[in-house]
Amino acid sequence: MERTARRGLHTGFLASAEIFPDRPALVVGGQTMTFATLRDRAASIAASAARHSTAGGPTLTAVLAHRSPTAFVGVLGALLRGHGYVPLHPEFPPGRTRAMLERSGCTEIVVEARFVPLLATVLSGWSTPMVVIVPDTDDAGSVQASLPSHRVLVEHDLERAEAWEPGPPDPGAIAYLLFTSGSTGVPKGVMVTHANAVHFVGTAVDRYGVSEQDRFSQTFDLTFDLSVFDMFVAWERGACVCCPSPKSLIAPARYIDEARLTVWFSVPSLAGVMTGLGLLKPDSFPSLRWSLFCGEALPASVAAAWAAAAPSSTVENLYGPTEVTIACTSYRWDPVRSPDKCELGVVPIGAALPGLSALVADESLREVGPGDTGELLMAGPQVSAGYWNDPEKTAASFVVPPGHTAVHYRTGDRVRRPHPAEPLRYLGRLDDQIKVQGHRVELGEVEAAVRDVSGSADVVAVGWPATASGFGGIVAFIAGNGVDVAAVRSGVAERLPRYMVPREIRLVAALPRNANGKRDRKALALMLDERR
Amino acid sequence: MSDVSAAEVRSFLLHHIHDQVLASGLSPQELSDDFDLLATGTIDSMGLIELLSALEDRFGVTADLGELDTEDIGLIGPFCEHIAHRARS
Repeated sequence: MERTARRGLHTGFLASAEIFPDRPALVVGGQTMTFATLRDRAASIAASAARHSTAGGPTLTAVLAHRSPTAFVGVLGALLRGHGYVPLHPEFPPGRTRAMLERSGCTEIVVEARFVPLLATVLSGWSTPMVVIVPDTDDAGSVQASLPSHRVLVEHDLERAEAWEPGPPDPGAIAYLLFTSGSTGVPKGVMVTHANAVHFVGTAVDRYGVSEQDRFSQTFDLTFDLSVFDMFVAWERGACVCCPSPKSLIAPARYIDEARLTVWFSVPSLAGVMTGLGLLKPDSFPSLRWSLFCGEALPASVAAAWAAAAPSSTVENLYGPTEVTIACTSYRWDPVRSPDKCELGVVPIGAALPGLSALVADESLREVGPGDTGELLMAGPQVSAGYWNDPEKTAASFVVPPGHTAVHYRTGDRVRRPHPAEPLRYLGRLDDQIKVQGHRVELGEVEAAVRDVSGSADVVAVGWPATASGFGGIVAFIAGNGVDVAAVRSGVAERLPRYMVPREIRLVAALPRNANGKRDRKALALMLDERR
Repeated sequence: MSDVSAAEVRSFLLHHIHDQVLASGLSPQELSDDFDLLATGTIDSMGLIELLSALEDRFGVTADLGELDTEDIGLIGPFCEHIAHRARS
């Protein structure tokens, strides 16, 4: 408790900047930044934002950047400023980014120069003047011309702030606000506090024995909470965060070797793609100490192939929704004993991490018997503060089960309650949420977009094709005829991130229903399988 | 192994991804050797797997992307050369 009481998510980074000022903290785009450089650049953003702030907004700063120094400097600058950060994805449609920005109420944003034109589109007709910080350009004229009604600060406007000290962190304040897919068509903002994140980071640095000699992969976008692991578990102990190029993310074998990575962390899909491309060969990654996977089901075949490719590393399967802060259970893969523990070809999710507890419950939220299946509920210091400005959805998902006193998060995941000394096993979803190559997608949100754009009421979206860990993409069906499918697809692409846009939209005479009269997704997926 | 030219591979590849290329607002004939199928989002990593599988079915050749420079993966020219080279060896 002492550890979480006075710390913020960035406290460990600042300590490392004192102890290891000249060690590398970040390698991105071929550029290496030391802890001292990263700290100074973040402090100058924090100090400048504080000075130019028009006040009145929430204590949140948006960051619109992607795999660049500005992305990381922006996150740290927001935290040093005493704000939580709100990551935005430059590949998301402008309308979606605008909705997130509006919902968050941010009045300060750090943006990478190449995304200024995008920001100008996002902020078109925006009523509140924002403080827009563009640390990677000196061309104030063109930025200001794109954003005439906002206060623009470019590189030379940022004050030197080596001596700038952040205020004391407030453990209950938001460290980051992450938007996830919402079933009704509106993204939900998950409020993760400093205390939540600090608890996870403390667990992880102990569990993985992280030191300043470690070199971490950085495969996750900032809008994915697993990126918090990459940055803050590494920086807590002075380790270096290494960002592969987008190409290296498809075929990372050479990068892992050349960057001498010691900790690998990705979605299983990435390893699945490597297997599919024939790039996962035995003994490929001798430098790795840890091979960590999270974000979707880990197929046993992928775990086994990766363990053979990285023979000096321990493979772990982590599990955790954004609402319970990065990861809340873990299972250590044993090449000899684990294959027998797998169910449906999927690696178990193990047991709750220290300080957290897992409850497998039936519909009335009462615990099921050992060996029975139910919904997984999680409790403990990583249970987040709920959904931003959405008390209804928060109350529906964050509950106190009968006979308990602690708030539990209802994950919506179906698991098997283990017998003593056995691991928890993940079996699937209780609702229509799917994972598309690790991205969390509510099929209801995809259907809402297709309905809106097509004007057709009868729409079903299914995950397809099935992969070992989730789905490769989405296919949508519209009942009816005379719909311009290409126009619908491009209309949907203007609203949803690329991974949520159906790969294909098919018109059918009628949508199949199951015995209960509900739309039958399984029958549609089977139809697609047979066509193959 | 069969004798396959890079031009044949290219022709098959462009036929295979014809719809995706059109969806990007381009014409398959216009694509130069340094057109990047991945960076432009014409295909994604799942699409690349499907493409490799189709090439294997058509030419009986298994790609080894580990032999390509990382930044060349997804470039039409080097990719087709690689497949043709694998077919010859």
